[in-house]
Amino acid sequence: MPATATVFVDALGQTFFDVLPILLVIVVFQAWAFRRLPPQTGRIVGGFIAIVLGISFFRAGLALSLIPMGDDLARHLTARIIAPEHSTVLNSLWLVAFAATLGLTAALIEPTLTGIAQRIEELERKAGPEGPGHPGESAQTGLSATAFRLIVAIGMATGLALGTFRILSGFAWVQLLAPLLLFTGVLMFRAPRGLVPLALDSGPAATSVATVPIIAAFGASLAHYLPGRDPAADGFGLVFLALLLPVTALLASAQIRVLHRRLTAARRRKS
Amino acid sequence: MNRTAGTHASGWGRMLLDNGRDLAPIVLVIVFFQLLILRKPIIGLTEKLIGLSFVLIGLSLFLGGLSMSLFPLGEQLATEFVRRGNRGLLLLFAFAIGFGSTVAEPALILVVEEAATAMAPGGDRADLMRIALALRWTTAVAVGLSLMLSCLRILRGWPAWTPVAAVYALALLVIVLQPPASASIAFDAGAAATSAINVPLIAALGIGLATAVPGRTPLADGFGAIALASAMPMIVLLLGSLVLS
Repeated sequence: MPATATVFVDALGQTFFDVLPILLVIVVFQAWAFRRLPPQTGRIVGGFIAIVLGISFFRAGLALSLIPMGDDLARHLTARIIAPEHSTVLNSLWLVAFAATLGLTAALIEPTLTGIAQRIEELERKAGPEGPGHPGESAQTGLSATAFRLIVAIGMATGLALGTFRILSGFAWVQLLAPLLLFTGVLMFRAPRGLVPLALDSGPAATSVATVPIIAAFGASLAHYLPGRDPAADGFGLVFLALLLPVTALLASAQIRVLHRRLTAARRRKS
Repeated sequence: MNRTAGTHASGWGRMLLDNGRDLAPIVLVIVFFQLLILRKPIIGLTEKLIGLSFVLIGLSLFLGGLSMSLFPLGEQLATEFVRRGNRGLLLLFAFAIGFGSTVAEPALILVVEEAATAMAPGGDRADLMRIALALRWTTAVAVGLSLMLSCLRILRGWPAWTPVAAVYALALLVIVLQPPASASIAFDAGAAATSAINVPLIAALGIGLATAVPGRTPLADGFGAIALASAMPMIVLLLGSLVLS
């Protein structure tokens, strides 16, 4: 299929230019500063090739399947809202539900997030149950890679649902963003210190090759097909909500676990 | 659970299976909405199936490659910098990684042009391009500087959340006091600075530094650099629109 081949070649070119600057920096430093090859050079080169091919296949695959399908759905669901013969409230709910499930499931295929979550799990296993360094305050999150990704995915779903609701109801983006930023800030001060850096990094790691094109396409078609919306302004804002809410969700999960522990302790004392 | 592929064929097979499990939900969601809510058949099914198999292959190759190259390489580099005790060289490397991965990023180029248009509506094309170029270079320098700061922070043992909180507090102040028209574009730009290549490398560098420097823990000190780097395009575009307006 020639169309498929074109899409793949485009993705390969794009990925190559993404990798090139970083590759140059690494090669220059190895050659000029260290004047030697890193250990296991062959394995590293092989891994780099796998990464470039992997991102290219991934991007081409998204462009061929999930992005046009998601776009098509967003368009049809929006068309139902505009059509006067349908109940707009129910159809608006369907659109919000679609945004939420799209966010939830897109986060699960985000390779950058999966990679980071696995690395965190490995580090936690290496550090052991106590964790070195900070006595009294465990650096452990106690989250497995799967749990970490699920909480991030729930956050992203919430972010997209809120953002879609915002676009549909038409109030200012800043009015949604400012309280969310404040709320996340408050949670950050109350969260266990070891979790905060991980939580902060989870958002940008979760908004990468998979979720950004899917969310951007969704936002653009939403703003494009809804009457009276400016695609240049209303289509934006969703990606940041998808970046912020995973942080909020991870920090909130720590609060929920603290509450849960207190409740079970209180119950044990009673009995 | 752990998808670090071994050299064995079975490792890759296991990984394909795990990644298939990750891919299934989004496919089910789209098929559910398509068939049950819209009651429309899926057009161009072969092409879409080819696309989905590409996604699966891509996921597996990327995750396998990550544990073979970027993760160990980033940590080796960090260890080597600490062993040599050359702080200047480490900071130069951090800047180069941040600057290099941002200055030519296609997603950032697009979003910055969008922001420049929103900042100066009706301006002529040459002016817009000059503004966009200036914003892009400022962003790339800011991302480079933010990575230098993050490395310094790990060496000195400063907390990770302070600079991130400070940048977002400033952003909050800007949007509450004088929200620019391009605010949503500025915030979305953060995701453009962090790619599938630089996120793992920055994380590995942080983890490596926090492991090699005594008294630091990889989990509590090694992270936070990605969040700060991704906040840079946002704050540059926000402040840029304030200066221009």
